[in-house]
Amino acid sequence: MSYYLQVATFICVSGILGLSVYLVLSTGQLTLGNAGFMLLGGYTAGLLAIKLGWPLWLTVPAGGLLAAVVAVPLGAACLRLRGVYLAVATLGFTQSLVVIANNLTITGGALGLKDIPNLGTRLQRYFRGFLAEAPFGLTMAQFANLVVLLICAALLGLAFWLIVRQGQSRVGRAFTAIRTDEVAASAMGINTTYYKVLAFAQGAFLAGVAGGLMAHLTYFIGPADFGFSRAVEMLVFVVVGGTSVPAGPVLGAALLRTLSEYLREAKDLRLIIYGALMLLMVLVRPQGLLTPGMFAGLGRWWQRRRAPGKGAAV
Amino acid sequence: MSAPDRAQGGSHVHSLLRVQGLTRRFGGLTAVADVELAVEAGQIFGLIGPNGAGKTTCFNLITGLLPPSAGAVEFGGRSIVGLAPHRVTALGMARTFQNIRLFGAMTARENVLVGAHARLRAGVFGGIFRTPAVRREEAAARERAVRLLDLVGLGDAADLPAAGLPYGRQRRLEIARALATEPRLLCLDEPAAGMNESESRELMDLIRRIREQGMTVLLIEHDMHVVMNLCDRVAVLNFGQKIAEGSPAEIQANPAVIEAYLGRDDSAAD
Repeated sequence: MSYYLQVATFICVSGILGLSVYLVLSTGQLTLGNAGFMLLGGYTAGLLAIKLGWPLWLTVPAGGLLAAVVAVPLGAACLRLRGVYLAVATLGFTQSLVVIANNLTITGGALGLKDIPNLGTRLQRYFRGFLAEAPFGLTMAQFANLVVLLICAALLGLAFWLIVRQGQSRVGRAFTAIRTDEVAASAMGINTTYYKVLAFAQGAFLAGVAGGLMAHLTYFIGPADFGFSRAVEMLVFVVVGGTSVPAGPVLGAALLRTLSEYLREAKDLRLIIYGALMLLMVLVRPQGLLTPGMFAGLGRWWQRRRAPGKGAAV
Repeated sequence: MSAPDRAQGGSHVHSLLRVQGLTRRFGGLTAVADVELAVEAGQIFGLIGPNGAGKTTCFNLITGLLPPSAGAVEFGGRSIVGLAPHRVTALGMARTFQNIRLFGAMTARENVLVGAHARLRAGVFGGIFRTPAVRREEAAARERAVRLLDLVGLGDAADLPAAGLPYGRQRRLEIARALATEPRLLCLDEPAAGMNESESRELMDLIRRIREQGMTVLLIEHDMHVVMNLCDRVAVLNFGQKIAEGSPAEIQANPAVIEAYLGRDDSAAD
């Protein structure tokens, strides 16, 4: 039971990571820097909790905020690059943070951060304060894990909602225009640099939040959690699930997380299977599993349903 | 306020667009050499010339997509050299592209709404939470988008993806999108390219209507019929240099122009 709850929780965190890459990709930029922002968020949250005793509801947004603040100058510098060059530059950022985390004393070097306050344990202790026993016939540990899952699912839902709403607004149109044709977008009056940096910083914020959650879900984080393979993993969520609808990365995260649980026994073979899957997707369905076309019908149905009552939806 | 007059002509102070000594070199090749243009408010100004004469490069220099190697571009009395393209657009200059550059996956209406970007305010917060001000703004922009689509004859295509429209309609959608930026000067890069006779006649009507609404039009065109019927004034480029300027009738009779188009015996357009 607890195992399944944990898997579902990690699916939610992975969904947030997928969305973080999706945001940057929605302006046509390929980033491998979000693993670095995740590291920033994770260590920031962990250190604030361990050293300063900040409450968890503050450490996680603080991690995201720091990542976003770092992303602005980094984005302004890197986003002159395109395609694979941008990917390499942002990967360089990720890897340098890994090296730094490996060598600083405050980050615990290669051993990483230990004894980070755990969200589940904290909740358990909190519930014990006023509950004699957990509801629904669960053990207290299971109940706490369930609440952890609900919190992460709510955060994923919130991120998803924000991205969908932004996507339907003037900002979302600017993103899509830039992704489709940057020159034409700028000729239409769109400040392309501003919107690319904006998306980059928003993606960094989400990655930082996911890193902070990660830190508080496991008792331990280390530099190895945030390197190249993490950067690629998030990208695979988006590539498999779909690059042009926000539901894509969430589906991708759910599928691949589940798959990787089944492949736990396969150890290193897992990465080979991941690679093969990525290759297959690129060859057979480069747009990913979900496409905007699938949602267009849904949208029309929704508008028809709303139209008589509320007038045209904005 | 205006930049010091280096050139001799002080007569064009009130021109909407004034280009002086415009030059662009690509390595050893001079694509545009020392071009002077003065487009007056309310004109339909034609820029013509054989293939490879540097017309589109000229457009790119004027609209800020490409920095000039030398020269001055003044728009509404203000120098716009070095301004980013989106700033130039915000000042009231809009353009279409010779090789259509619509946002293919977006609907016709969305393409026009992108054109309205610089005239709208909604930011991240307002867009996500749809504040009353943003709702009003968006509703007005959508209404305006429909009017512009009607103007160019695409009223029935508002919700169709741009990429699926036939070629001639895509060209007109580009014009609607450019109009959505609320320009004072509309720059059209070969708007009639690939159109049949009746389509290009409709296009000429459209351009005249646009001018009647108070806009100035600068257009690159290949189709002599269109140029001669539509333009008040025409400038001719050849090998990056302006070889003639005048009324359509003057241009038609100009031996240098005839030579550039028809060539002496051997020369061929590239």
